[in-house]
Amino acid sequence: MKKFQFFDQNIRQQRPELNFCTFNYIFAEYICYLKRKHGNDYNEMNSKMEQLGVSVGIRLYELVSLRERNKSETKLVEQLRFIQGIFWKHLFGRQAESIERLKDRPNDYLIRDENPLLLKYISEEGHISPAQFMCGILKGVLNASGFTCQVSYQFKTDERGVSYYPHTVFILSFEDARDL
Amino acid sequence: MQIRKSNKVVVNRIEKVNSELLTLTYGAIVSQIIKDSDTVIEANEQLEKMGYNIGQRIIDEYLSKAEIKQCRDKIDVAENIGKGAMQMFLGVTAEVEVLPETDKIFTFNLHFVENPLNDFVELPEHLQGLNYSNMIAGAIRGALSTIHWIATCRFLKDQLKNDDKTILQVEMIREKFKDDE
Repeated sequence: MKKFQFFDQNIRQQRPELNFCTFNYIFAEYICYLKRKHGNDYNEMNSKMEQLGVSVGIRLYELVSLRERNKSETKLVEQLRFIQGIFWKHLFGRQAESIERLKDRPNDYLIRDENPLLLKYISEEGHISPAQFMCGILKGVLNASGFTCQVSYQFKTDERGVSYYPHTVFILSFEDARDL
Repeated sequence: MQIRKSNKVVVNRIEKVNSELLTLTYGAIVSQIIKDSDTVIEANEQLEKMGYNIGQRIIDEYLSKAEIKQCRDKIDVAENIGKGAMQMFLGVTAEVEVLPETDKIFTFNLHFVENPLNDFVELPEHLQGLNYSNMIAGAIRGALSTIHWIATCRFLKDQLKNDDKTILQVEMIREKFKDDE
């Protein structure tokens, strides 16, 4: 009997795209699982979701680098451009809108996505969100490429409190000034 | 638009996502469940339960998106699961093998040659008892329960456990309503 080994599969051949609702159902069920397990402890749930994202991000980084481009960057800004452009496009079908930097927070970079694919069918609840999963993916990718950072997210609201959900901003905080 | 000539099912307007994102996310979810559970059996049950919840809702998605007429017989149901639903949600078709009906229990096997959830996965030594794709089994059970069929699904063979193909056996029996006497 032929032993099935995943090493025998050709990694360069990519499986065609799958139905988005499969991903959504699985992810929504995962959020229900977290709620069953942790009750009202939103911090614990968010950290679990971020861990999920980190483990996905580390592996995704290698895969996307293999498929799209074989070079890895040493400069942070180039790496962020790679994430915003090629990586985002590979995963979600569109590039992220922009990379920004605030004057009063020199250690932070912002990646803005006006319509994140993962948030399309999830309502704005406030405590727990798949955006945390996306933060985890970003953190995993950056840690795997050698830049340590913390990632958090914010939904955009303007001065009057009007919400632009699902317009999301991912805030990347780098502790090590040498990375910048 | 996808047209399957064999069963004449037309699936409209599927929104797509990168398959690797799904595969890696599923793997990360399974590994978190394993860390949270004490035994492999508990992890299997948890996966099956999650699959059951998904299945109860996913059948509405399937019935609304795929334009199919009412199933003529049980073999049609099996074909819809193995070919229609699997193609729609996982992008793969499964061979349907119908076993003889015993005692009003209808049994069929689904033979999977490839499974997108299994990409890049290898089961380590201490997790050989894990049914990695148990969510699929749970989903079938959940979907059938919404249309009043009581089903049990289990894996006879699994590619992750060194078999050449994955075989999922489904046994279904019509649910008896209380006023059926």
